[in-house]
Amino acid sequence: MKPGAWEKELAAAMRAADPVAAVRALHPGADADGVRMSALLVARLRFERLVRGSPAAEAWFDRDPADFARAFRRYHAEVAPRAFFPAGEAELFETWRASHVTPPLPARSRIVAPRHARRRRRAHR
Amino acid sequence: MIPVGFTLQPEPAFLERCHAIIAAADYWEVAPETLWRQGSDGRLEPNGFHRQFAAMARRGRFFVAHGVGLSMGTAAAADAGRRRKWLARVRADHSTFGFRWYTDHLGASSVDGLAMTLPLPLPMTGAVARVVRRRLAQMQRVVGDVGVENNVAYFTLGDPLDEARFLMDCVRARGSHLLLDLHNVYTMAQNFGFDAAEYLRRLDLAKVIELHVSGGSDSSPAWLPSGRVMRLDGHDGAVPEMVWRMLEAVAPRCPNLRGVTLERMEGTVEEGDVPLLAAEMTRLRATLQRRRRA
Repeated sequence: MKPGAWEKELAAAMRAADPVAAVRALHPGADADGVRMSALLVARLRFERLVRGSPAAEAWFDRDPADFARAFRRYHAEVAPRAFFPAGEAELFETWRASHVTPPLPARSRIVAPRHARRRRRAHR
Repeated sequence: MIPVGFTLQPEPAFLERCHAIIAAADYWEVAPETLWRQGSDGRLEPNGFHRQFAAMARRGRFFVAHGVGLSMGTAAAADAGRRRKWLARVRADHSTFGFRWYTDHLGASSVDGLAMTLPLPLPMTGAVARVVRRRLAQMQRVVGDVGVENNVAYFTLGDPLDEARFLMDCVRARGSHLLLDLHNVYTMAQNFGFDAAEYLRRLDLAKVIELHVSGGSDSSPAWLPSGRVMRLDGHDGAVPEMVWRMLEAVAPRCPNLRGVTLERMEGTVEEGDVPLLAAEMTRLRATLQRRRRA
């Protein structure tokens, strides 16, 4: 394998429908549960980055968590995570949302998620 | 006496509740990236917490930097611009905080130029170790003493116990150090079923500049189709007794140890948690005093 080729494969694996098969192409002995857990945490950290950067996304999540989660799963699968900071993630999400048939973002909800649920952004430092 | 440090988290409630613990620490650890925001032109700029912590830098205590975003083991051309901006920002921060040393995780948080954020495992090869050493050398031109922390990975691209050898290969240059996170060793041992003592035996403890002590929690059985529970490195709970025992065993064997940091994540400290954290700081000092007498 060329130096760095593993990066492309690993990055794709973390957003693949079957991350275990994708990672095992790199290392056949990779722990299946560990791969699934990592993919889950990568998505969760992105979710937290988005919610921190976008009050509109946060309000959508507060109002209808299941609906927002469905939209987020599609977004995560379709859009490469090129943003490292919340504002950039919010921009990516808004661009994606605008080009899809999804419900309009609701006005800010009065229901506020617990602070700790929104702020755990470096859960694996 | 080895200095005892505490993490500064960019969260008002954390800073308020942990005020006395923060005041009693000998030094403070910050993750530089949490003190930045990205401007509309893409430049990395200090956020409000940067200014707040910078004011603390004039109070006689020292700072250490523990980053999460340098992505030590990756070298994708697509990430080169980001890395340059990152290093430039760390250089600016160093002029403000005067970091005694700078560490980051042994992992890939930016993979092929994409933000994974969670430090993912690296192939434990000589070529990747060279990438890590190159990254450390770049960082060393900013902060003189640099290091890598043993990571928590939930899967590995090789034998998990072999990470000790790989780590030592990564930090073999002069001025490169090991940040040994004892909870990370504990978590990996729990999840992969290896003997933590064996992992520690494979390390050259003379390379250890800093020890990390923290707690974590278990994942929910609902998270994985198998129902398996994994230990998570969440920094959100009490320091496990096994980690304390590891500290007692390891600290006396680290001749170049410069600090031991108690880590805790923002968003995880309620009023009721503060006495436990204070007691953990006290126990940390007592353990290090015993090390001194030994």
